[in-house]
Amino acid sequence: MNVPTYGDHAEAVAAAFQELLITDTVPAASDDVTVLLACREVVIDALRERLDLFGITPSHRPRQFDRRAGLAVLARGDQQLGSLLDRVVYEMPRLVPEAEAIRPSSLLGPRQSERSVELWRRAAVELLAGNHSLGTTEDATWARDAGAGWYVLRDLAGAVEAAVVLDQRLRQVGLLSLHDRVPDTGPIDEHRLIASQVARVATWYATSSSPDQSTPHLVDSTLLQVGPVSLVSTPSDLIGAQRRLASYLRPMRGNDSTYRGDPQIAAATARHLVASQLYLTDFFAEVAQGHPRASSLTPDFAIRKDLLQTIQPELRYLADVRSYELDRHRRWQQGEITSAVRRMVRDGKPFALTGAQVLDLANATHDVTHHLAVSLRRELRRPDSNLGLAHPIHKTRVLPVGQRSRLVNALGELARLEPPTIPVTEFSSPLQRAGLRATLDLIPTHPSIPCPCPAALKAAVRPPPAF
Amino acid sequence: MDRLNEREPLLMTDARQPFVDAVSMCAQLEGMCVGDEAARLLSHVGMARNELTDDGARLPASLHEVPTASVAVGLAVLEDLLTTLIGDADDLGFALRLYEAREILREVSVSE
Repeated sequence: MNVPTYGDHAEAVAAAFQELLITDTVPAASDDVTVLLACREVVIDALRERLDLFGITPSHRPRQFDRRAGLAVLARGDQQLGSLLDRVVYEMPRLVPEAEAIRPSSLLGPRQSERSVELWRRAAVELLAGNHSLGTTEDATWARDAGAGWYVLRDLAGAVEAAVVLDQRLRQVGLLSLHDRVPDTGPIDEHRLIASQVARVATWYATSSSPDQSTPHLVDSTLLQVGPVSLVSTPSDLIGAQRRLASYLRPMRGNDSTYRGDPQIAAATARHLVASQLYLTDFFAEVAQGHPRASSLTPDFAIRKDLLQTIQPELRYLADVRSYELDRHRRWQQGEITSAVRRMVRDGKPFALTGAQVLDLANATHDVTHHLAVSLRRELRRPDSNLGLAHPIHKTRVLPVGQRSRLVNALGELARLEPPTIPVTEFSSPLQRAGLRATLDLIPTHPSIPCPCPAALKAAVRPPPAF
Repeated sequence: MDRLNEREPLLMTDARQPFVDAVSMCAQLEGMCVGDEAARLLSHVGMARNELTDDGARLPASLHEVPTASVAVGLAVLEDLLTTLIGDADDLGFALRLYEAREILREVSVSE
């Protein structure tokens, strides 16, 4: 099943706005105008919803907007640009709510015969669908990575600027004359200045197109949470299961008030997890290698596999000094993951994951291996460590692991590995959005051409005498 | 009900010779699996050891070094030991664990 991504929706929005800007037509029939204005309302609501996703909620909007100070913010590239964009959307004229307004299902469902109305409808639907993809995706890279966040903000600023220019045209033909307006609304030039400048700044910092791969999460993860173990029935469930395992492995600090001095990890648990994660990273590396969009993640899995491969033989005689049974959640969760993957391999089922899901899985695996390495290393280096080596040549003695041993060094390397980097622009080619940007850069706000020169200069430059 | 208590020590020591030999052989094989091709074998031996020791709850009374000519010979010896243990097992849960350990080893034997 091919699920449309956020990138697909953003491209459709850009294509609709671009055609609206170029064709510059307004329907003549009053029914069409009614539907167009209703679709425009949905577009503004969708833009507001997108801003809400960024955490720019109406409650953060200042009661008194200092326009001069606000415009000064344009010179910086920070979170306040989003607030400025919110101000622009907030100041757009709105229809007064009426009891007999068209229901959203009737408005957005059927295709419209009039082209410009259909384009407004399509823009509204795709904006809402894009919000849904961003809001429910399993791995919200746009929320945790600044470069990806600016990428989404750039799209948003482009859509806002297009809506501002299209509003100006509707205003010129009087279609917005009965709309409600916010007091102290800024001029259209200011709105466009803000939207275009935000888009420009966002382009500078939009270093990752990973949000383009965001898809709505189709499986309700709460259905698979049975007790302490996150069950795995499909490949995408592995992401949540690995995350759950990582949460169980999160190490305690010695100065933590809740830490009682218990061992961080037991010898058998460490051996079990290292062997299982070695198996998984080897398998995930193969999956990434064969994936058309995620092959760049293969080295990331491979380097973890190499380090785990170095660590596991060093654990073969690891033993607990005092018998200690740490909680079993780690083993249960690891057992569920390993047996599920082995079952999938044995049954020959296709390991179907999107590029974004493989990236998500790589991040979850990073969390597991990082926490495992930190826990084990911390326990080995603790002054009263419960772990030691019970090599047969030492008879019954359990000797401490050397602080500079191969095992401790390899664990240190594994703990220091960076999380997988988000691919820069490998997966997407936003042609429609680039087209919209180019169109916006060419289309003037006002139909009449303003004079770029001062009035005095205009008077001084006289036209040549006519002969 | 007590088994659900996560912090209660459930560890037991098993001194039977086939069990001690099997765990020792696993440790020996883990030490022998070096090189680029060893990753899959290593992980399977580790997972089989986990099943054999019942998630670490069944400890061998001791470990000893097992001279082994090669990894393939060691795997064959280990499979024989597991088969012996399955035949001797009086605990159904543990027998299933042993059976699973043998299956894990056979998976890697087939794919290698």
